[in-house]
Amino acid sequence: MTKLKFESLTDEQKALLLDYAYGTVNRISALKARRLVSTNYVAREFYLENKKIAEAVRSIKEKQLSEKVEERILKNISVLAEKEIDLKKELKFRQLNVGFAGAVVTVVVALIVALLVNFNSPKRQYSYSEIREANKEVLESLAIVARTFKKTEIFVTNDVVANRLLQPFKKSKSLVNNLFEVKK
Amino acid sequence: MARKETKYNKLFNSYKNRVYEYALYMLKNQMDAEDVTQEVFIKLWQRMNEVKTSKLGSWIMKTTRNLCIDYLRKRKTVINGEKKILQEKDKEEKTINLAAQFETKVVTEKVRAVISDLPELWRSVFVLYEIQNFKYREISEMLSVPVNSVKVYLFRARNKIREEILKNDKVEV
Repeated sequence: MTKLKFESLTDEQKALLLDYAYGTVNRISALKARRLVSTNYVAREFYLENKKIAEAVRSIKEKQLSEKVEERILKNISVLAEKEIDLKKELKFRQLNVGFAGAVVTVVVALIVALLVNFNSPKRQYSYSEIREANKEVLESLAIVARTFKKTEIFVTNDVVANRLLQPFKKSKSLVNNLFEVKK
Repeated sequence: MARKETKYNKLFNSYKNRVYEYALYMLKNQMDAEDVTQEVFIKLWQRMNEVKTSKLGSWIMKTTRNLCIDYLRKRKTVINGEKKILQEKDKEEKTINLAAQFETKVVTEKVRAVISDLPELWRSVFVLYEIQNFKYREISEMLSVPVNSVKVYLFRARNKIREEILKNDKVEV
């Protein structure tokens, strides 16, 4: 049996032994720690004390939140969720209202502006020469219309009435007469 | 909304006990711990969409810690008073239960008491790592400290627990 040394531990060795005691070391560090524990009495004591503490820590059971508190929290959250939904609906409604009101206001403003512009614009006063010119233009256009009517009248009398109505009528009349004469 | 609720319920179920336990270690008061738990989960509902899904876990624990610190600040005097009462009660129990002091249950209670008296950061690291099984990187995110500092705090916490338990044993003997 090898005799154990009594050497004080450095911080590095302590850290290694603590990790080993709490079971949070890799294999190489575990080997180093094991060697240290098997050769140094101080290290062994340090390790055993911490191992006991680590076991106690591990045996600490997770504290459970009571069901009452859990229910209370979830109830509060459901109230918040409902409020959120209401708020969203209200916001949508407001947005719609704002849009509609905006359109109405635009139309009304446009109408008012148009009315104001028309109301404020002064009536135009025509000069004598302008009136005379306009009268002349009206007479000229009437003359053109009259000429057109005249041409149309001539065309209707000469062509439509004489050729397209009277001639076929005369033809059919003579044909009927001939038929009556043959019967007699 | 239904998706948000499903996500929320999932998070609530996996973190409710962790949050409560952590708050209990920090505040040493059941009612305060319950209040903090409630506040954390209400905040979670309100901020859930602002935080990345992958970061929600550490966000929850970070928020828990911040709220606990706020509570500790607000109720410093009350807690100091409670501490004295607890210490006196502890002394009484120690003298009565001398024979049973080596039983595991007693050791566990002692350890629990010592953990509760650790400095805030060491306690946080110890509880999160040893009891709640979070990883170094996760704890580093939760507490906003580098991973190496987490390791150092854990080392100090473990050492301190041993020292305190030995000190208590010597007093009792």
